[in-house]
Amino acid sequence: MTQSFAVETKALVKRYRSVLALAGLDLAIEPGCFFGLLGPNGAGKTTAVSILCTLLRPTSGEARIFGSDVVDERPAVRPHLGIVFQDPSLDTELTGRENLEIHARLYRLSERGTRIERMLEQMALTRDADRRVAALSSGMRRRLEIARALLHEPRVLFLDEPTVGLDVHARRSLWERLEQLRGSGLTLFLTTHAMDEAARLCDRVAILNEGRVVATGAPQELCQQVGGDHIELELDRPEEALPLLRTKPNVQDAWIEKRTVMVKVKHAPTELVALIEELKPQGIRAVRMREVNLEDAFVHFTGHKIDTAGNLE
Amino acid sequence: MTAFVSDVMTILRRELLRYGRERAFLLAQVLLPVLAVLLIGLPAGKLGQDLHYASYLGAGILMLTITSGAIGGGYTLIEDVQRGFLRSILVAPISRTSIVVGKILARLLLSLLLVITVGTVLAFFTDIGLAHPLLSLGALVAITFGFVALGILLATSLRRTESFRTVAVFVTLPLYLLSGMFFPIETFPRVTYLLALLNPLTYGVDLFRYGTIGVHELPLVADGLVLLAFAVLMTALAARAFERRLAG
Ligand SMILES: Nc1ncnc2c1ncn2[C@@H]1O[C@H](COP(=O)(O)OP(=O)(O)OP(=O)(O)O)[C@@H](O)[C@H]1O
Ligand SMILES: [Mg+2]
Repeated sequence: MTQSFAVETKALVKRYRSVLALAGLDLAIEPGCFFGLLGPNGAGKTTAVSILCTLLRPTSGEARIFGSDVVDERPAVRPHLGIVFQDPSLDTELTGRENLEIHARLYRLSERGTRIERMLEQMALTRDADRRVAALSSGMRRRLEIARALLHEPRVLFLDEPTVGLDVHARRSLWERLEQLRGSGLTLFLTTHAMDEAARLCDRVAILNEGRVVATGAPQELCQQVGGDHIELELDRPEEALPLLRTKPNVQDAWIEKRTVMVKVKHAPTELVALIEELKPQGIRAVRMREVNLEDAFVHFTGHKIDTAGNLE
Repeated sequence: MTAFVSDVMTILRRELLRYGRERAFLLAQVLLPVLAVLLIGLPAGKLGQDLHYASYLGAGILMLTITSGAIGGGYTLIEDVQRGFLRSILVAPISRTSIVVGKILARLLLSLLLVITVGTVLAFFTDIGLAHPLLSLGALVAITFGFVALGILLATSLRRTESFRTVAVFVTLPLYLLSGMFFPIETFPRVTYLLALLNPLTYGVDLFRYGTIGVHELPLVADGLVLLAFAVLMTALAARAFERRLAG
């Protein structure tokens, strides 16, 4: 290993009795990268995060954080980690501020008071900081967990499905907050099955399915690999258009839905102009297009559809 | 080493913050022994020529408070695992030992506080005092370690942690009854007397009673050795069970 990756795994395997949760995971994440691990329920995301956070022993293979092994060099790894677990992990009997105070001491931070105030401010928690965590809404608790994970300025931030249960505003403000951290050197390791979140935040993603990476790259690259933008045309004489479209090499598919002509092409923005020229004689009334998105790519690579709760359909 | 101490202090701080939220419960722990001595101990009169039953019972009940508190303290460690909080501590750059030591120290501090408070109140109408303060302290430390460990063992061995309280009562009640907390074990029938000798708590109660009112039934050396073995063995067993639980 010449250059040290922020996160690196080689042939990482985790087996729970009969379940093979990770079947040879290979990852190499550059420092400063915002990385997304995507996958349906049970794909092995949380298992990967637990191993990387030194909480779970892999069955075989190795994993390193900035060059330090997560099993053999735990003391070197731990100070660099910031984590928001998928399940709540605050002390609900203490107040938000007390939770941060204990955390700050565990990481032996200096200037605890100012750091805590600043973090509370940034997460919009100042007003509720002295209430017992048990009395906070689940969105507030989530923000508090994030505040705690960032308090000691970790080099790698793990967020295991951080926006589940957050309202639209809280989701966006978290994204904005993370956006501000981009370029500060922080490496983000995000797991999610919200594809809009991954597309918006991540420089690179890996799609995990049944413990294996089935695709990896920038979200745009994955979309292009899959292809399949849709162009919808409302025409005066739609029947005439179909035979014409089917002869064209760049058209992957064409059909009629509710009197609208649907055309599947590899890359809509470049095909659109030619298509409009071609179909002018059939009387175009309206044109719409939808580019392929990460969700299409996800469905393509995992062979599943996913609902908003992350369950396979 | 200084890092270890400061980590232990942090865990201790958190525990004390939590205990501070349970004032009603703490008050009950103070009132119960006082009431027991007032209502049951004092009216019962004398046990021997110089020994009032109130003094005898007072020392026993103090031990009872410490023991049950310690078991509850052990349980909170597993509660932390279940509620997810412990993970946030386990990923921090601190040792696992400091977590357990911090927990036990918190309980120890609380027990000490309780003994001093209740002991001071009881001193006004019984003979409870500082006959041999170091020996009382020794009994208190050993019993706290042993029973915090027992709490951890019980909680880790249960599938459903919610049943902890029921099971704890089931396990501890015989230990209490067969320990000479309430009556001298000399008065026990033969079989129960032998059972009492197998009960490590008997030796804790005996040593503690000697430490507070200067009366004992068993050889003090036996008390000391049994308690030491009990505390060490239980702590080792609990540490192993806890490690296993963490490994999943
Ligand atoms: N402690 C465990 N014991 C046994 N099997 C487990 C354990 N934890 C996870 N698994 C199994 O490992 C597989 C991967 O689980 P994991 O929690 O890593 O998935 P995930 O991708 O995080 O899913 P989700 O999106 O639902 O959070 C699943 O089949 C799960 O049942
Ligand atoms: Mg998960």
